[in-house]
Amino acid sequence: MKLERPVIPFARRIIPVALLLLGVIIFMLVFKAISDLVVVLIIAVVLTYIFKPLTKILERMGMSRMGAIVAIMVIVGGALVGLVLIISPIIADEVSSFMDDFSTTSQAKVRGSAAASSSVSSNSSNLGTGNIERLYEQGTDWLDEKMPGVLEMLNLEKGQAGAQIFTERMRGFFMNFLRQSTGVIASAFNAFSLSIVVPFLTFFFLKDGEGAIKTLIARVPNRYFEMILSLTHAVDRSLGNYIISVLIESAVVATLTLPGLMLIGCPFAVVLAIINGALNAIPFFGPLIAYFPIGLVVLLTGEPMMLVWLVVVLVGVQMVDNILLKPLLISRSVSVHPAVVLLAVLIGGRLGGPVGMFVAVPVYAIIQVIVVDSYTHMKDYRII
Amino acid sequence: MDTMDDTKLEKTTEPEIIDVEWIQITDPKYGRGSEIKRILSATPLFEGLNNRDWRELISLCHVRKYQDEEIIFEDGTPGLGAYVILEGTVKIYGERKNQIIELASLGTGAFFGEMSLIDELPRSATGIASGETRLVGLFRPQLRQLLHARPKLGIIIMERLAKMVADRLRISNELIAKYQEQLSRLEKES
Repeated sequence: MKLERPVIPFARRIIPVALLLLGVIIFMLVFKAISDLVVVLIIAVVLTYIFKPLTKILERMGMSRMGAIVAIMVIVGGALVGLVLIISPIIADEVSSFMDDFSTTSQAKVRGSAAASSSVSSNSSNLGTGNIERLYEQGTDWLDEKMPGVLEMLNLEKGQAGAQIFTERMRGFFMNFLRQSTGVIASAFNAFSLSIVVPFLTFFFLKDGEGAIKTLIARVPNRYFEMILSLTHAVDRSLGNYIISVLIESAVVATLTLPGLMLIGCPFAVVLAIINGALNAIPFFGPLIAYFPIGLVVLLTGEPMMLVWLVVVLVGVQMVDNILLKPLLISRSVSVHPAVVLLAVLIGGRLGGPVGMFVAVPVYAIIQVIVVDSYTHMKDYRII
Repeated sequence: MDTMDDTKLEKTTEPEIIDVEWIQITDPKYGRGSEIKRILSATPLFEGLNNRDWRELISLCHVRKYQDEEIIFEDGTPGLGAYVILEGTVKIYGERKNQIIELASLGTGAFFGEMSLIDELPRSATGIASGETRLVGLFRPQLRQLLHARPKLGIIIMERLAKMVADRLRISNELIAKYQEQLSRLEKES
């Protein structure tokens, strides 16, 4: 049976699409204005999606929802604090050691202090920007010989002076990147956010999230009620699958990278494995971004064979990720086009710096799920 | 508010036609204005549940209010779940021989749309409120949620749902047998 509704004018049909676009614009503006709070909210939402299945399991075992939420937050919170207490000193040591090595060797070279250089080259991690300078000199010599004129075009200078300028530029870029990242992360992840706001929001989302959504749905006009209800569920499911998939994938990639890096003797293995796992959350470009610090550290060790073994390790991890993990996890999740990923990362970087780059793809995936599911539902329910 | 255009609908009531899908398995003998629990507990699907089950169930249900002639669900749109009438009347319309006819008129306590709790097929009829109507809806996503969080309760409801569908199938088979008998008698007579 087809009930003939009054013909909806084009202007009215376009309203939902316009509202959707308006929503995206408002989200971007809000994100720009309160990026710190958005980051905290995103963390709370992610934690909610992680804890939700665990809550259901405990509820299935006969616990009340409140009891299940409290139990999970106490257990996971305790485990997290324990983990932070164990791992954070290791990471802090590795990071500070890396920063010291990197800045001291470079400054020493610039000052031309051979003594400082030799003392640093004998440190525990055996790092030195001299290796990069040597590689730079060899590389520019080769380029000049094979492709004369390219160096001028790239505005690069030959010889030791050029190598020092290049190393100094790289150091500046790397330190600036680290400073920016730590600055944004520090403002978003300050102690207050982490210890009070995030757990509180997560607890609220777990306990009353469904009730709050139900209250909002109660306000929806009857004509759109079933559509919105179905859409909410579809978005919730897609989002849950996406977040869990990405987390599992990142954790497995980090876990596989760590023994690989340790086996080849790469310094700062823990930090680099975590970076590789975390950046793997950004499809296509994430691993490439992660290879930059990993490659840099291995280059600084000055052992060419380690670089070869590093390639083997990273290719191996990527193969496991692409052959085993992605087909298993991403098929249940959201697929995003590479060009869109690049665009999202660029916009994210513009709006929120390094943290913006990191959350850009998940946020885009959320918007994509909402838009695609909304369109499908509106068509199914004959709204458009 | 959605309004129905009577001229376009061409409603015709054919009481002799019994549409199996809309036979009321439940007998609507429940008073107006009674609370959700009392109304729901009188339907076979939800009878005999304990307090904790009720709390869980009611937290998953949605109460909706419809004006006269407002569309509750439309034929061909995705079926999402079932409704129980708390107050008012719901008329079910379907297309038979290119005509839109009233298949059933359901009163307080009636339970309808339960097939959508099982499958995702589009609705096969249109439900329209007759007068001011209050409904309580239980939907497939929430039922699945219940099955995951409280499997025992979920299984009880699913079993009862299966029994409802089985009862309906039995009535359907009996009707088919009856009509086949009438048809063969008519063939013999002609």
